[in-house]
Amino acid sequence: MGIIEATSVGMTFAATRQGSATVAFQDVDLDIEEGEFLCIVGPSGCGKTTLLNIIAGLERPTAGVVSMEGEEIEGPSPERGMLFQDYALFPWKTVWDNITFGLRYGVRRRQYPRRRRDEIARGFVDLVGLQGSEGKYPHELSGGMKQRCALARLLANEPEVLLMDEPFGALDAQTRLVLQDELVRVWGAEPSAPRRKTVVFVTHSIDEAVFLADRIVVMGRRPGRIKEIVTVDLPRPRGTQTRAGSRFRELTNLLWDEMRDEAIEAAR
Amino acid sequence: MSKQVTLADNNASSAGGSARPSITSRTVIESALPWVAVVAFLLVWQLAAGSIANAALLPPPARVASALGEHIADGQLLNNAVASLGRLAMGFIIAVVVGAPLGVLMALSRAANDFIEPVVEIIRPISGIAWIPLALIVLGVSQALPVFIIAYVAIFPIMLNTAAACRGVSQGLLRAARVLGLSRSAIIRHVVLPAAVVGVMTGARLGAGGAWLALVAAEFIGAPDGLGFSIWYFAGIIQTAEMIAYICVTGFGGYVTDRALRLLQRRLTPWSPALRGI
Repeated sequence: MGIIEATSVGMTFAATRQGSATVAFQDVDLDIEEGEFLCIVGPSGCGKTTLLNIIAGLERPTAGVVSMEGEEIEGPSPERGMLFQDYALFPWKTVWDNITFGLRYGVRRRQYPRRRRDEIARGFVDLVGLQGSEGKYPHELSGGMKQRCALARLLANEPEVLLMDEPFGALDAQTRLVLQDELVRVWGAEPSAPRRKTVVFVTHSIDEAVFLADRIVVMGRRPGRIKEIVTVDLPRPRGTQTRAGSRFRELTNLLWDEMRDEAIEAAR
Repeated sequence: MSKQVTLADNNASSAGGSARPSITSRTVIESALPWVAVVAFLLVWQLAAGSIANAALLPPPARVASALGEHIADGQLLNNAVASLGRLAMGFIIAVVVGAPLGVLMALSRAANDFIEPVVEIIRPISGIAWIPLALIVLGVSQALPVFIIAYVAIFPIMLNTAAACRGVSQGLLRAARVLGLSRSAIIRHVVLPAAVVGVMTGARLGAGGAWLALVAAEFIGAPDGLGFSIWYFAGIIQTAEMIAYICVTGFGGYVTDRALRLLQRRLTPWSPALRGI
């Protein structure tokens, strides 16, 4: 039994003045194992972000059940943290105050005394390499730095499951590669709990998915559904040499074959 | 061949030698322009005063400057400026205390918005100055009259900008706060209210210009002292130089008020997008 289980999950958006009801996806069955890095790829409109939002508890599915550790997910919880494509940093908070935001104002705010909170935050500032920028405001940071800050904020809140919604989608190609390397380095290296947390990572990029994932869920569109689940058998720790290997190419080609037709259609 | 050499020479000189001084002299001219304008204005004033040759109608700049000097020296000007600025501050405090919570309420509750907005939209176009005669009947010549007028003028931009700023909190930030484990009341306190501060400051700066105009007008007839009162007083006894001196001070006061609010904005909301590029 996985840490997160989706059973016959479907999402239909109600009809609006602009158009009829749309099925985002349907009949999604998914078991996410504790400690695995799961990527979800698929063309635009396959509902992968919606699925992630449902796991987060930000949206409720119109069919089926998603549960975590056997309990139905009914709303957001600090157990499941999230990383957003647009970073979603609080612009009136400095880097430091963003990172400690959940610890200070969340439902678990009384869990730690102030000094322990600061220790935790300090650990993640160091881990993501933001030393010296603690007093800066988000608008003073580059895109890569913003996402590092958001990652530290996510990890500092000590969630069990990390949900990432195309977190590197707005970054330039080089920064993106650097942050992918950083993410695999940081994953499981948290000072407080040195074990790998479950990650669900939504991306457009096949290369990114192959580089990061243990398993890749390929979604199709019209209606959105799971087409295939590919196991990535690349050894860890992964790094620059991983991308140069022949197995990396084989896997990306395999996934591209799986997605090509729908990607072309989605691009029309 | 010789042409090429000349070309190269030209390039070298424009890149190194001649280009730099021309840029420097341009910036010198540009930075001097405002002062040239001030001098030109004073010159025209001097000439006009000379040709009218009646200090009661239009005194020369030097006469106004000496009146200004006297009033600074004997402390009268300071007393009046302090009185006016105190009323401005008081009016603004009332506008923020009443307007900001109403703005937040309008953003949080549709019902509150539907209740408040029509009233605001009907009253808002009425100039603050239009209320002065009624205020004079109700409040009399007092501290309260100009304070009331300032609060009235400032409250609408503060209220509406606060509401807009709260409504402008992105879905993304609200989601981020929810997944970090904030309750609804914590979200209002730590996500919506900081956004409201931005709106209050933006509204305050927008309202400051109008409030300053209304302050001077309200003090003409509705206050026992102050800058507006002094303009009216010296006009009444035909001391035109003193009157113009106080007019100049109100202009300066408006400028200082905006600067002060900008400074306060920078202090209170250093992240505000309105400060970008200033």
